[in-house]
Order: sequence, then C-alpha cells, then structure tokens
Amino acid sequence: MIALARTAPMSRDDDIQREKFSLAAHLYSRLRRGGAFTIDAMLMTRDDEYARQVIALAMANPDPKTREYAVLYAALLPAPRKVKPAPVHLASVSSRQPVTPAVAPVPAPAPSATNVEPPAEAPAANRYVRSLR
Amino acid sequence: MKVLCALGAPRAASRYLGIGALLLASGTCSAAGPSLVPVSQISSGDTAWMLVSTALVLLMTLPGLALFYGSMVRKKNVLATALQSFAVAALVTVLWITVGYSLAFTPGSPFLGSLDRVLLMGLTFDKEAAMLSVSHLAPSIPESVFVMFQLTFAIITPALITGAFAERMKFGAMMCFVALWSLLVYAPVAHGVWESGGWLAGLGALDFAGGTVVHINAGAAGLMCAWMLGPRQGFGQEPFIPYNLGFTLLGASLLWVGWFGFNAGSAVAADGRAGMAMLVTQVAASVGALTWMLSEYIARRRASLLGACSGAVGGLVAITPASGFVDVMGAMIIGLVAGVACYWGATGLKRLLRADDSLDVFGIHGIGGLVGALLTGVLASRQIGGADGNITAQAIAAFATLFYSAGMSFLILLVLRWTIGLRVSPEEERDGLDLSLHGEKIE
Repeated sequence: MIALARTAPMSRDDDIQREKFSLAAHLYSRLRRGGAFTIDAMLMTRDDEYARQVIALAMANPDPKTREYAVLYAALLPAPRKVKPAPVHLASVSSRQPVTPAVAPVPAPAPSATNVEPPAEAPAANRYVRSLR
Repeated sequence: MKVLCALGAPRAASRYLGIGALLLASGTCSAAGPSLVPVSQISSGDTAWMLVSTALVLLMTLPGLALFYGSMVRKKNVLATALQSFAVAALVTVLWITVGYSLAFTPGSPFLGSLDRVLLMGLTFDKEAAMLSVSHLAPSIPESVFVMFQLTFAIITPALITGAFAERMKFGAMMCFVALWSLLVYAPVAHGVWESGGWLAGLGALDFAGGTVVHINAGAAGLMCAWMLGPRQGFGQEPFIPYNLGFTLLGASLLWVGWFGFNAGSAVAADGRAGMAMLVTQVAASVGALTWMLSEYIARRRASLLGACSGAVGGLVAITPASGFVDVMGAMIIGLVAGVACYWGATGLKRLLRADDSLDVFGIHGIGGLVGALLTGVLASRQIGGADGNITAQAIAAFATLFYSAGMSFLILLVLRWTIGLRVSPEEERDGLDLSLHGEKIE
C-alpha cells in the first residue's frame, strides 16, 4: 500500500511485512483518534499475539474503517492454533486478496468507544485495566 | 530555663518516648525552643546513628521512590515520574531551610511554629567556643542533624503524593502544588503532632515516626489530587502496562531498607528502643507482604511480585506510627491487618472511590496509615514506649489530619487550576510526559 522505491528484489515475506506495517499504521491512527487507544505499530508487525489482541480491540470499535483494517491485517496472520477461522463478510471492503482472518471477529461492535471491554481472549491484557494491583 | 530543659527533662523524655511522644513528658518545657549547649552534651553514638538514619530516609526517595513509582507507569511516562521525586527533593530542601523547619519545629501556637528559625538563623556550630545549638526535641544530637533528619521526612511526604497524579499533571503545576502543600499542610501537621505544644500532641496522640504526619497526610492529598485531576485518558478501557516491575522490586527494597532509618531513627537515639523499632519494622513488613500475597492468592489464585512489594510497603506504613510503642506480637497483628486492608484499599476501595489514583497512594499510604494510627491506640505498650495508647486520641488525630490535608489540598489545587492549570493537554498526555514535557525518551 505504501509506494516505496525498491533498491533490491523483494521477497513475498518482505511484501507482507510492508503490508502489515502499513495496516498497523492505519490502525494506530484510527484507534488513537477514535478510541483514545495507543498501540505499538512496530511491535504489531513483529509479534503476532500482540497483533491479534489489537485486532480484537479494533473489531470491537464502532468505526467500520477501523474494522476493515483489522480484517485485512488478520488475513496476513498465520492461523492460530486450535482456532477455527471464521469467514468474514466484507461488504464494503475492496480487498486485493482473499480474506480469511486468523482471529474471529467480535460478533457485535460495542455501543461506544468509552465502554469497550478488553478482549475476552486476552486475559493478560485485562490485568492492568482500571487497576494496577 | 531553656538550657535547663535542653540538658535535663527533654533529653530523658526523648530517650523514653521518642519524638512522637516527647510532649507527654515535656509540659513544663513546652515554651522552650532550640537552644545553645556545650559540645560535651552531644552523644556521639546518637549523632552517628542519626546521620546514618538521615541518609537511609533520603535513600527512600532518591532513588527508592523514584524507581518504585517510575517503574509502575507506562514507558512513555517513566522519566517524568522519576523526575518528580527528584525535583521534589530539591524544592522541599530549599523551602525547608527557608521557612518549613521553623514553622514545623519551633514553639509557637498549637497549630503552627514561629519564624525564629527562618533561613535557619540561630542554628549554631561554634567550634572555638565548643558550643552548638540543639533542638528541644532532640537534645543529644546537633540541631543541624535534626534539621536534616526531619527534612528527609518533609521530602518523602509530597514525593509520595506524586504517585496519585502520575502520567497527567503539568510539571510546573506539580512544583507549585508541592511548594504550597509543604508549607500549608505538611508544616502545620508536623507541628501539631510532633512539636511539644502541638494541638494533636496535647491530646495524647501517638505517632512515633509519621504514620499520621507522613502517610495519612500524603494519602488524603493524593486522593484529592486524583479526584481533582480526573482519570487518565483510557482509564478503565485499556491496560496501562507498567514499565518494568523488576525496578519496582528494586525500589520497594530500597524503601524497606530505608524504613529502618525512618522508624528506628525516630527514636533519635542509638538505644534499645531504636532496636525494637527496627525489629518490629522488619516483622510488620514481612507479615504485610505475606498477607497481601495470601489475599491475592485467595482472590485471584496467584501471588504477584507487585503484590508482595505492595504488601511489604503496606506493612511498613502501618507500623510507622506504632514502631516505638508496640512489641513483636503487636507488629505481627499490625502487619496482618495492614496486608488485608491495603489490598482492599488498592482494589475494592479503589473501585468504590472511582478515582484514578494512579499508583494507589491512598489505598496503601492512606489506608495503611489509618490502620497503623488506630492500632497504635490499641496495641501501644507502656513497657516499650512509656505510654499507653488511646484509641480516641488516635482517631481524632488521624481523621483531623485526613480531612485537613484533603481540604487544603483541594483549595490549593483549585487555585492552581484557575491560574496555571493542572493537566497537560490531551495530545501531550497521549504522547507521554517524557517527550512532551521534558523532551526525553526511553527507547
């Protein structure tokens, strides 16, 4: 998605990494603007578990564009163990590749960004919500 | 009369009762202030111990509290949070020698001291004449040592408050708040509790090392700060991952060790009572840590490092007012109650209060201080401290301090909000205070 001058032939892995980073950057700005969440875009490209948590968070966001980026990112992730991929209906997404998200989307978006609960599949992330101890 | 008091009754009284209870035996000398005495009156043993204690208590703030707090905030706010403790140390030092010490530790009204020691005028060390000044509260050590020892308490108290408003307060507003709070809240409370003619001292309230003056005082102010500033962006919606809990252990350990100076140093003597204070401090910290971990295990099926550190600090806070008055069994009871109460303070009560007290200053220091103050009234042993506890006097002192500190903090914060503002902008908060306020960053 980001047009960059290529100085050397790039592998498919490089392309995926670039695509991941581009989508992570979009998610960063969308989540920060719309939900006051701050994510680590670089970490997202390196750590698939972290990326899945961010995707789950984004899927709970009422903004359709945010969810769209999350679905696109999920398509780039390897399938998680013991989780059956669920198809996602993408009415308004013009994806350039078949989308089979690695993370099941949250069924219904939360009514507002202010009462979004942390993703249920990420208990570690719940640990420091509202309370440090 | 002054010299007579300095040489006689107060010395015996301070050895017997400690600073917190000196007033009980010094009614006839209540008007006496610091005085000039021969060098021969000074106890080299006491002085050596108080010099060490002073360094230990300062170590609690620099770097203990800076590490403890700095490690529990998010990565983008670590430097700003640690800097707050450091800057408070510098600011309070200047205020203390300018006017704070005089307001707190010279005779005056029951509520505030005099201006006799402004800029430490009258503090004397004359080597040729072999004379030096001593405080009427600590006649066996040079007044310079007493000024320094009490300064370290004056430093750590507002430094503790910074944990409540971490990650969102303007640096300039924080400095103004601390300056005003030190003079308008800390000095009067220290005077009321520790000075011979103080009004809470006159009621018979016991506070050996600062459970009321330091911890309840800081806890109440912290809670008010949290309310006045409002929650951090994303509070309750997203996880606030602490930067490095390994450093939290380091900070808590420095606090634990430094607390020996805090409590045993408050005996103002190198004697058996200081030894007892040190012993009960260790016991209460340990029992507090174990109790918190047990509470955590029962509630969540796990015991955490942060819980162990918090429980130890809770036990240390609670034993502070009692450390010169209770025996080992009393320390175990205090540690036990403090472990459970502080765990509830930092979890259940925090939810009830609906305040974003970032690092649980009220939950641990406020609640721990209240537990310690009240249990001192129940468990104080005449055999250890020369005085029996009085739960009514303890409750009056504790809650009077709580409400005074909260009320005055509210007024100070209100004035600052109307003038320079309290909170950083939303953009600065999102970017983190390290970069937005100080132009620095941890990678």
